[in-house]
Amino acid sequence: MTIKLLLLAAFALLALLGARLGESPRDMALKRLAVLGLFLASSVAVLFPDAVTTVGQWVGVGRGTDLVLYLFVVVSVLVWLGTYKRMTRLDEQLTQLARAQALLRAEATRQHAPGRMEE
Amino acid sequence: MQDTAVPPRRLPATEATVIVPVYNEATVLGEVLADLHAVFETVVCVDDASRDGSAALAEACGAVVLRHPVNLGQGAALQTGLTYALEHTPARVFLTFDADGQHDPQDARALAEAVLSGRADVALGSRFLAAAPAASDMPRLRRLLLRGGVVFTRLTTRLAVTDTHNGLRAVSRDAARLLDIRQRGMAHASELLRLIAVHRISYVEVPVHVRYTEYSLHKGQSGLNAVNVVADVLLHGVFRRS
Repeated sequence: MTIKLLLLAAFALLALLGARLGESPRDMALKRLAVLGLFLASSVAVLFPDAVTTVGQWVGVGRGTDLVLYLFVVVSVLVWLGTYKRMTRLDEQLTQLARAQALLRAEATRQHAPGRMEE
Repeated sequence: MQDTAVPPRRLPATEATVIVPVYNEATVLGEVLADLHAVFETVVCVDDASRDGSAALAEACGAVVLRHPVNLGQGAALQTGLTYALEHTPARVFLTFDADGQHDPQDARALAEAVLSGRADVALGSRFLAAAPAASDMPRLRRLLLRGGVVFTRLTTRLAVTDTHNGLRAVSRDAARLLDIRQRGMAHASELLRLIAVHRISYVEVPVHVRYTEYSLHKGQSGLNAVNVVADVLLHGVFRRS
């Protein structure tokens, strides 16, 4: 049972850390390393299916496929969160860009508000 | 001494600017702007990429018109208007006013005076204050959802506001400087209240009339949109920027 709790705690920690990763070069590199690690782990699982079962039993999760499923869920959630974050950021950039355009256009066509403050 | 009623004064550019987000309101915009110009000298329309010529119409009516190149939403239009008004108009109070004819310019004047007189930095229009006329022609579902909105806002901002989704507001220059509305859509109303709570901006509620015409009801928010507002507010909590 303790092992399961530790596993859950590890998952939660991974999820939190993953969610906090942004778009900076450092974070991008870390994310790419994580993807590479996932690829390598998946390859091992394909080549040595018994290994997965062993790890699963050691951790107390039961079948190896269950462990794979749990990890898949965690990774999926991280991907969704990352995508949502990125979308929100793009959205904000779009809004700022459109706003700047609107204000610039008003400037250029000399929109005249009464008592307008001169630059 | 002759007892002549003094006509209510028109608010000059140096005191007030009205911001009107516009999206496809060509049908009623002319009338709305005419009524507004009778009370306020400066009206800024923010056209959210309308397709019915609303922008040109607003310009013809003498309003200052800002044009979004793409449709962003009422929240974004409001912030664009506020940014412009802060930098390019000398006003001391900024009003937000709906383009669909639901709001009364006289109410806007009352809100503006409340802020100008120093009662508070923000004046919020409310349909539900005891002093306001009974909103008897409000559709029942809408009334229910708005009541829900009040409860939700009290939970998330701890502000005891009676009408959380009323587009008629007045903000002082000082308050406007603190506002940075990032919600593009209708959740901006909740965000605005949250900003008021977070920055501890003083506010008062003022009773206002809302006219529910067939036109405005047809154009108004569908009840389902309440789901979006809640989602936007809650998700903001998850991805709070530091």
